[in-house]
Amino acid sequence: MKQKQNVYVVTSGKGGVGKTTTTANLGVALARLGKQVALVDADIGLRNLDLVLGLEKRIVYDVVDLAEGRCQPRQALIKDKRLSGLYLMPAAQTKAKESVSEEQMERVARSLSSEFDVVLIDCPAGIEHGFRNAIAGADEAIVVTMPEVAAIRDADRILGMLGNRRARIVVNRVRPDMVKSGDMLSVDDVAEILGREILGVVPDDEEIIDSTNRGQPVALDATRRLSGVYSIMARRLLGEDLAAVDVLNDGIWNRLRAILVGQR
Amino acid sequence: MSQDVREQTGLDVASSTELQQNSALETATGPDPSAVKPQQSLPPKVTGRAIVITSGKGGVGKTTVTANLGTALADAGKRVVVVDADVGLRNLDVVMGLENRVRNHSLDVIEEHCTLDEALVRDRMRKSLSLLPAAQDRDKDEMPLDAMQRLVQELQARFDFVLIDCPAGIEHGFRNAIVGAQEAVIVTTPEVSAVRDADRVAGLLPGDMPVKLIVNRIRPHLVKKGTMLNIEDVLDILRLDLIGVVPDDKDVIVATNRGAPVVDIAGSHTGAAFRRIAARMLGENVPIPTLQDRTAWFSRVLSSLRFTRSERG
Amino acid sequence: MQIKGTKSGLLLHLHERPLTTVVAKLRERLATLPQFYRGGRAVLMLGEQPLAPQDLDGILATLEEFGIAADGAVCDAQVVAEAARGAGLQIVAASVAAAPRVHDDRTEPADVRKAWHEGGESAARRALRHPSSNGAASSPEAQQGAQNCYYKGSLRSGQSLSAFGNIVVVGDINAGAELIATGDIMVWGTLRGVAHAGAEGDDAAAVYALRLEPTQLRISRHLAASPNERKKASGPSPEVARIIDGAIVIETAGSYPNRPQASTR
Repeated sequence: MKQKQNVYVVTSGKGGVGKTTTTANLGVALARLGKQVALVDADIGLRNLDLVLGLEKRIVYDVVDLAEGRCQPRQALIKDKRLSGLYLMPAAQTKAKESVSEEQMERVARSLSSEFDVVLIDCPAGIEHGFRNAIAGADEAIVVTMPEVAAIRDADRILGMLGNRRARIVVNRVRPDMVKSGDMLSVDDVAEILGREILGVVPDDEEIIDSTNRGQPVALDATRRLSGVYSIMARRLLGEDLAAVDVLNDGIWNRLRAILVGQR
Repeated sequence: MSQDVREQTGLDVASSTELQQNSALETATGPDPSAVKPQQSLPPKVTGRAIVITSGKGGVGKTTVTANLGTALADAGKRVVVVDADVGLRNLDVVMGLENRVRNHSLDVIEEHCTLDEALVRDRMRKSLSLLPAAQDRDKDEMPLDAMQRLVQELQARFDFVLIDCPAGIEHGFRNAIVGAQEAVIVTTPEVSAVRDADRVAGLLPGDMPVKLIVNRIRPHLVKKGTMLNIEDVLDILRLDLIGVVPDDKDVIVATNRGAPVVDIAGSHTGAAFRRIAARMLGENVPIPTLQDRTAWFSRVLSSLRFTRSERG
Repeated sequence: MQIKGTKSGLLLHLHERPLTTVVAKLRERLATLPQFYRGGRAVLMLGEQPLAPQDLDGILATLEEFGIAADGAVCDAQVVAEAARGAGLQIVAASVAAAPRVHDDRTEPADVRKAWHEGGESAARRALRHPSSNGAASSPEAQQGAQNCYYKGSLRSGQSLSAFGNIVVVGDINAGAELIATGDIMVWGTLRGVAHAGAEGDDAAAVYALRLEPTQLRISRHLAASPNERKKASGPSPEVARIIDGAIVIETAGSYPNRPQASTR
């Protein structure tokens, strides 16, 4: 039987650009579209995906336990109770990244691939052992970056380390005001420099800070602005021919401004 | 004599006392990071201070802190070298605006393809500030720990301050960055994930290494709302000596993109905060100011309305 | 039957029944590399299919023949646990990862290891220096009797402290840190991480803290996450968690109505 090509590694090189947030919210958006989704935290020793999803308190087994045969896959997967179809495979916190090998991670990824519609692997920052572990079982890559010089440079380096895998870009934390004033690169600039297709564009929004701290991904709440953004990203990932959000001109921003002008 | 000792240890008793929380749970035991080292342990020759800037979490501002602290210390008359320890993902050169001047890097020095002088890049504006770049096309595990340690010692003989910009994570790159350091500055943001990672890192540093904390990218209005942790919460968990609180500001993005340090942007609150941190590192008693919430909701809405009008007009 | 090697020893998956059929396979596997396994330790993963204590005799005899110490058994059903106890095995609770070990392949704070050494565990010291001969270095004396651990200092995220016995910590346990004890756990500070008391199946074990704000509490084979609505205390508010009527319950510490005397450890 032909293997499904449904394992995506969410990576960036640069830390802090939004890999974990993207993994969590994209996962939620995919689950809300009715897919069975497995999210894997590959950041052993510095795990955060469980925090961002608000599932920290339910961790018993983790990916290292699974890799070492101490448990079955279903024992390590935590089912999110807020929606059907979303599962988390947590990282270990009290171990080091050298605790699992690339082969072990690849086996974990492939076994999840056959059980789920989509598997997203949250990659640690950097390009060391943890990174190699995370990409080991991945079919495609989602490279998260920001319109900022250091982030783009690192994304570029990462693109060169993904082998033959298809890679698409998520441009995160875009600030339209700064793009307009010339203090920030535009999405088109980023696409041109990196030379890859854009999967999604996410505007900078303080709501993300609140949601990550509280463990409630924004994509859970359909009334939030960002929820629509991740929904579009999820649909594009599944192959729908939708335009990626253009934050400078799209309806969400115009509607907000209209509301504010109306109030004055 | 005591002045030397204060400079050596960066003791800043006054400012940390100001922030001493009324916490019943301060750890009574464990090595005291601000303890003065006994006189006998000072080396015979006065060498520079080797300080690693680390965090665990990526994107909290290590590189920005390294570049700006280095700049501020150089302005205070010190000889400073900033060392990029992020082999393969170097960024310190870009943040300092020196990427076009990079010829050799630290691995070249270690592998004896060039001398240390040939690899050091002098800052464009400050003569006493230099950069030792990292290689871009190599891997972190190509840098042996003992070689890095010797390199840092050599730098300590030439500079007053050796600031080592640590990569994100806790793998070989991290171990490499801390191996030559005698002091550490942990950078965190007031967010749960960042504090968790900072805690992890604090537990991985050698038990006798003096460690200070910088809380970076604070947005006072979010602290007020409860979206961001307040400083007391952060200190309650990390229990480290606070050496600075830096406000979030888009000045930093502008500065990074221009390759200029944010300390040079006139009127920047972030820049001012870095200067205060540098002063504290030099032993000055500079109190940490309460951050004002300068951006009321009202004025933010106004600014976005202005944007709307100019778009139409 | 599967034999898996981990950094801390062997995991023997023995889910098939009758176990007697497995003995021959086990001997065959071990005989391929007899010296490699000698001095090692093994945990038996017995699954949920019932068995009798004597069924384990053959397995244990084979292990002994090859110089492998049986560290304990992981059982997914009560009847299996009873049988294992009947055969003299210690029950390792919930996950093998939670089992207290003399030397742990998890990161330990450097001064924890020091405290451990001062408890007289020269075997652990050797094991830490030579992780590959991990199994060989663990000596019987390390495992006998209760070894209470009294630790002054805090645990940071990612650090872990385990003991065959009780654990007392004067300090905080940060979120992301773990305490695992066969006995009780007492934290003279804030417990924010994970604490597992009674890790070998002692339902009478308890967790005490000046501030009990754990991510998760485990007592024996029971597990509980703290509810989100719990208010955070601003000062010390001593509490104790223990099993009452089959569930983990948190009470204010300091009032102890007449309870049956727990075994002194």
